[in-house]
Amino acid sequence: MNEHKKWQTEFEDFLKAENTLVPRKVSDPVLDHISQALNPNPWSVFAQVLGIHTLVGFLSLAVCHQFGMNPFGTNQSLDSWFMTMFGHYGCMFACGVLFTGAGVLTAGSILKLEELKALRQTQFLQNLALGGISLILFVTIGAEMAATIAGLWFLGAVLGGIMATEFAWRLRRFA
Amino acid sequence: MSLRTDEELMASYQEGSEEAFKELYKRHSGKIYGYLKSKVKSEQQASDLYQEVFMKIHRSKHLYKKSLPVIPWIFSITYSVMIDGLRKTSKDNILDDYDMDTLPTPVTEPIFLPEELSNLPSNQQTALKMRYVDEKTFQEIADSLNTSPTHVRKLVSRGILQLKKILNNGDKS
Repeated sequence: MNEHKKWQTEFEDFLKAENTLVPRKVSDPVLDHISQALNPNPWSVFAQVLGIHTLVGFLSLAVCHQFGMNPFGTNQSLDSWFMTMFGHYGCMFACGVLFTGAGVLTAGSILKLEELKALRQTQFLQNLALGGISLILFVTIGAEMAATIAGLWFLGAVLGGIMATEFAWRLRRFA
Repeated sequence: MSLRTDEELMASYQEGSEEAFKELYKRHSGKIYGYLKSKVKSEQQASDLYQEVFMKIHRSKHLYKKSLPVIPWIFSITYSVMIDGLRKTSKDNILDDYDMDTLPTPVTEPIFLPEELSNLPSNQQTALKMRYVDEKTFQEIADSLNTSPTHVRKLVSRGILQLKKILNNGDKS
């Protein structure tokens, strides 16, 4: 009997199989395991996003020198272009969008769909924390900024994160 | 939820809906369990396979294509898990048939012809030589090969099976 025929015969057996009550000791571990997998802890999702964002955010400094930080010593930076296009305030806002947006978008393409869903359900808090931690880190490593500038950057970072979460969610759902 | 088709439920489950998963589970778990129970000998094995089926469905849910019917997809997973499980069991049973401790005690003279022995994989050759030529215990062989005694038993057992096949083929030709 060839494989296809065998498969068909087995499939018919499957369709004819009796609906058998599954014992609870067999069923419960399955339901528990999948329930846990489908409802990931938002903190563990945040830890993953933070890890990915740290790496991507650091790498993004090569193309956009946030608060003048240029660890890779690159000559070209998007912040000069943002400055020309949107002015000083617009530049800070756009830099915030790019910094968090890039990290969250990368995380959104790596995370499992259920993890992305958990991120989306708590996206305001998650992106608020992500922007806040990033800003504190910049200040810690010596970035100098006025409160207005920092505020605009932070607003951009939070909005960038939310937009990236939404974009990644839609893209993954329909891909 | 119960009025939705399997395909709609699967699409929701792919997006992480627990409710959709539970409904699919409610609809198909009995059939999967019934099928497995009818195909394998023991209830324990059916239960193990059943749990593995759902783990695999969960791990592979992103591979399901929305345009295809769900039942054959679920069946394909059930069938492949069952076949893998049965293969594994039959392999283990073959090895279990050889209780290495009850095999004849090692002999003083090499019992295998070097020519036949050279047809075996090198790790089996080494294990067999150490066991039957050097008369080492499984523990000693395991220490020398940097592995576990259980693995050595398997190597020796497989080596014997392999040699048996080779010698049987030689007798026929």
